[in-house]
Amino acid sequence: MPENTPRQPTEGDIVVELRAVEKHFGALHALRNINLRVKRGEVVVVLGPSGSGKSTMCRTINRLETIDSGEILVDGAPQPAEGKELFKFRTEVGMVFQSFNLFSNRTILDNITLAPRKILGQSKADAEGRARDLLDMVGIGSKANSYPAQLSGGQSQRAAIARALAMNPKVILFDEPTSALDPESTQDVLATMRQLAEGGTTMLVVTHEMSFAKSCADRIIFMADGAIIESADPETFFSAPNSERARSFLSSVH
Amino acid sequence: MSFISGYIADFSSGVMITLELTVLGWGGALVLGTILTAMRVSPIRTLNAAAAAYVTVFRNIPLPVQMVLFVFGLPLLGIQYSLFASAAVVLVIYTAPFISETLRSGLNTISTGELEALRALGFGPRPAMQHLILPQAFGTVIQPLGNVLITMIKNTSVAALVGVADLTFATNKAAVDEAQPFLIFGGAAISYLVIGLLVGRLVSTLDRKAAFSR
Repeated sequence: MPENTPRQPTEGDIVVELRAVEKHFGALHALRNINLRVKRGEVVVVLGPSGSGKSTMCRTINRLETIDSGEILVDGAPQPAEGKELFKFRTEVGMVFQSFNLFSNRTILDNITLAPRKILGQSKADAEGRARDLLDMVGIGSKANSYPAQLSGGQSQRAAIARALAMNPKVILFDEPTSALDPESTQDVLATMRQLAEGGTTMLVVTHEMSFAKSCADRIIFMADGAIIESADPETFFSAPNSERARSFLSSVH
Repeated sequence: MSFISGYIADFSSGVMITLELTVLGWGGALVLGTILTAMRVSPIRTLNAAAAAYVTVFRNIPLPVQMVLFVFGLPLLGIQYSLFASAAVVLVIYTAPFISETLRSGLNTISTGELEALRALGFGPRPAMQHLILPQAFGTVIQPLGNVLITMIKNTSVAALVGVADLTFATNKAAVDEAQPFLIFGGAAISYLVIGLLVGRLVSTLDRKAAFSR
């Protein structure tokens, strides 16, 4: 429950900011005037029907999707359009994908240490030490020398979370992290995410897991047709949504 | 059979030349082939087009033609190398496109999801290629690259055409001198077979090691 968590998002300390973001996919207006602020330590959960633009919005933040107009800032710094500045910018924004996207011919340990070593320039010993700590933290410490194909879906996703954490990002984006998992693995991954949330990690989570949204979110963003329709704390959103769209969405998932 | 002893020195130096051509040709072709592959997948269009043109031209001109053009054509332009150096360079030029095309098929084994993860972690195109994409591509095409290598070993025999004293050259010389072509070329055939067999075994061992991580 949010009221039980030991942390409080600092007022005014904005880590992610989207200003008037617009995007089209051909004729489809994928994002309409998106304005969003995520405070340091805040857990923002994005809900909405399929095709509402949740994932697209998530992917614009580290520029895996480009935008047509508007502004995106991380920790006050505008997102660079390309080149070295963009690559550096991305190291500060962690990302966890629906399909894990682990490097299939590298061990789990190598998956986690590759970017810290090659991009951040950490020594092998430092990177591996940190990676082993992270693997222990997400509960798969015994899998360091396994290959991704030898892991279950839940273990793979937890490895992917460890890989994102190893970069010490300012925020982690979760793009439907449990949509490819069976119910049991889903609970394992959600437990790991809950642990991060309680530890103060800034998170933007696109998900269909209402239980996670209710118990872990500081704020719910509800999207439909490429626009943010509501932004409210979970209690307000789930008990008294403002819009008809949100009411019909909630009645369909309950 | 006693005449053979008179050619032992020629044969062994022929085998050495063949092996040297193989090592130099393969090393150079690997480097050039890898560069061509990186160019082929580069977002910069001129690089891509240049590599594609190179592959088209040098893959389609027969090796003996390239060898003769290089050895007898370049001196007309005032450029002259030793016969051995020329043969090695032509082997590199001719073999690189085959390596490049083989390696390019290995690049396709990397999923778009993995590429996206690389980008999200802050890898630009160059470090992505260097640290993950190319090593993984090499790992998946070891066997087909082995085929290219074995073909190249046999292709070193084309150097004899322009007078490099490799195994085939030594064989031909002895065969002409002794009028024993069947016996002498049979011996050369066995030598090539043994080299090819050893290389084939080495490739299979490498492939088994790489297969573990696939």
